[in-house]
Amino acid sequence: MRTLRRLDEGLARGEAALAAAVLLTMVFAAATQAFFRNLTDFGVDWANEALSALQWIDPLLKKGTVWLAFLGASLAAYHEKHIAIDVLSRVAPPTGQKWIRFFTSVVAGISALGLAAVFWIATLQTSASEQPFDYQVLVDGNAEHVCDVSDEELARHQVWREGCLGSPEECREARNRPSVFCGVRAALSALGAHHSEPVLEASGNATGEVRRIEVIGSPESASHLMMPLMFLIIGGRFLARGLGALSTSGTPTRSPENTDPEREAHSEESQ
Amino acid sequence: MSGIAIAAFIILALIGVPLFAIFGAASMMLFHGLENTPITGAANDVFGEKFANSLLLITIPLFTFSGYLMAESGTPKRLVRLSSAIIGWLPGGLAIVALLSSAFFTTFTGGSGITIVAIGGLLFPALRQSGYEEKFSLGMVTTGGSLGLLFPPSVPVILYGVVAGVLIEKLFYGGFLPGLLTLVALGTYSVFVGLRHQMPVRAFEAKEAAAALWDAKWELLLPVVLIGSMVAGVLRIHEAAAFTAVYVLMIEVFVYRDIAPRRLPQVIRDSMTLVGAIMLILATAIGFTAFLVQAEVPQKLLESMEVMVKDPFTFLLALNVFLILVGMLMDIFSAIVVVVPLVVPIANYFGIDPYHLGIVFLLNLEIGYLTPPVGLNLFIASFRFEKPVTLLYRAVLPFIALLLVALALTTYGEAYLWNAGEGTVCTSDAECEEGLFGQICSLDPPTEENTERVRRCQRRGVVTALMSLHEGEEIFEFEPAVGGPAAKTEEETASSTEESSESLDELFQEFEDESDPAEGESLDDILRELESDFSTP
Repeated sequence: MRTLRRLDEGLARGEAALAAAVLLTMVFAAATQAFFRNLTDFGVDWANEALSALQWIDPLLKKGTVWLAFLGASLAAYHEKHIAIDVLSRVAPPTGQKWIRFFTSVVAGISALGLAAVFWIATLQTSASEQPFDYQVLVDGNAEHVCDVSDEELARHQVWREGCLGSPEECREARNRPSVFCGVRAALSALGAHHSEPVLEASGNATGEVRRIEVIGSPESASHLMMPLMFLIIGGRFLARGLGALSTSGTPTRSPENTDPEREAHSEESQ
Repeated sequence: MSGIAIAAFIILALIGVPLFAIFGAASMMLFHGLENTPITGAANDVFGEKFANSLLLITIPLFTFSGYLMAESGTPKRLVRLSSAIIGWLPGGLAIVALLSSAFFTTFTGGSGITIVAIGGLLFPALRQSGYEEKFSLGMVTTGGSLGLLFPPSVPVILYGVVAGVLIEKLFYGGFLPGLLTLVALGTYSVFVGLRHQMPVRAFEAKEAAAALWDAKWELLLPVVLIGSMVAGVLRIHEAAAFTAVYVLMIEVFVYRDIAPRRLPQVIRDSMTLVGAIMLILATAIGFTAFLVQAEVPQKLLESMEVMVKDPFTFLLALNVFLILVGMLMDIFSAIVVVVPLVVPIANYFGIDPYHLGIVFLLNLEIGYLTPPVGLNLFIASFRFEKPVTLLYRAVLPFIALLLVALALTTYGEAYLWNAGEGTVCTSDAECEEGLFGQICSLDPPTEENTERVRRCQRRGVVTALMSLHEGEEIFEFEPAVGGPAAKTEEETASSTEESSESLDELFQEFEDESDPAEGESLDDILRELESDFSTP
């Protein structure tokens, strides 16, 4: 039990450090991008090049926001700052509070674990649906994914070296396999992702309309795997708290805020 | 079946199960029950434009981080010093100081109670020392916790824009006057209290004022630069958020040196904890919203409302009451995410302008924060100032009354101003058919066809500007946009328009009397502007 608690504490510390790194990166990346975008508006030529070199920033900001959201959510579970309507536990007597705490935590834990499962499946389903042309290699007239063709096959496919001005012989080179990318893709395969052609039309969603399923590439998909992971941690924390509410004599002792029985459970506010 | 499920979820929420868990469970249940859609359907939405692929959501972590940084630094002190140097000589000056610095602060913290801790913690003792009653002082600093919510770059406004799918800049534009109105109302009350109790005032010292101004110059520059660059189109909203974060980080860490770099991780951790709590609700609510739509909750609400609610004004009244209850029970972020998708279709049906709806919505929640017995800020203040909650109930009552007046004026009076300020020209029947509250239909050229179209627009309650450039004369006809719901017959609509337009005029008169003419644009000004807009081809 004590080991688990210590593990939890270390995990929370790691999450906080990661969140800090992500946030600061995002802040400066977004500011840099805004700076160059405005330079281009003023007609500075080289700023355009800088801006196109900074194209990775938009996806970084989007993914960073997701990471911050889920790291924060996990931290909120650790510090018991999730938003809840807590009218009842404010007025309930201590024994009642204990049971409310048990009940709400267990329900939240189960729900979070369910969400972890759903997001796990969803992430693997959407993975590896790369935009076809970027990663296609033609083998015997059939398009195959660059990561799936054999080495010999790949060696026969030559591509024009970018920016090369020499003769055709000098400028052709064997197509390279993007190894990091294929590594991520292989890892996702090992986890059970199926790499089919992207299915653009879903049969229907809750509102009854047919809509496109998001096309998400392998790297993005891998970054989305942090969602089920975080839900798993959140669920674990809630379950532990729920069980803790019953086993101990009432006041939980994990974080200092909790030692105050008058604590506002509704407290997304920091002191 | 879905009715039972919804009831069960509401009960779970009231017992205190975290909201994200309820939304998550609800959406999983829904998608499990659907035949054609895998259980992961809602998760796919989360990967998409609504969440993981949205560039706007980045504003939530960035502005929250900026707000926390400012709260942790000397900013509250500098703001209080400055405003007391500048307006301390007014009767009730210190109370107005509390008002203004709270409002400034809340624009960055989004009314999440940080203001009460940061500004209230400073000003409550000061107010007591200078002789203000305990009840008044408590009420003032507690009310301050959600004041200023409508001004840029407030996060709730941005979130509303994201969830309702409306332009955030226009929301800020629309919220300016109502936000000012709340400040003027509470400021007048402060002056009144200051005069009645003959509170000591401090003499105005130009030297101290200049020194305080100089001291707080970096903070004061921020809103100027921010709003200026957003209006000028230099910064898009997510860039403005990044700019703010960099700027605040620089001034607090390197210029003022209020925050040592090694304290940064802790500030980030605290702010991201709040961000996580908000955004997890946002993510899970995407599925929940689908659940509500599937269960046809908005339609059912509308059907049950139709019996009692016949016109937009009754609807707005019902909305006000409902939203104050919501604001009391939920924090503003979850309220926006959950309630907006329910309310927007109904408001559409009644022809309420989406921006007007947004402002009314947010102002309601601002009041809900204070509403006894369970308004969130009451508990935060009680916790922070170590006073019984029951004392706070009594303390905030006059403030709530004033805010309710401001809300009424905004809800019913501003509709008028809003229409006048909109200036969209609808050029086809289709635009008129949308029945938007804020449309202005122009009649140009005054052919028979166009005249007929404008008539149709008028009947639907759309403001019309009849004009004829060809004959060199301009006629403006402002019909208050109170037309009935689309399904009504013409006679009904016409009669209800007449009735409500009377009460509107009264309300508007009241509004004009109440608000300082120097503060807001008068209708005449707006008319003149509009005229000049229209007369330039």
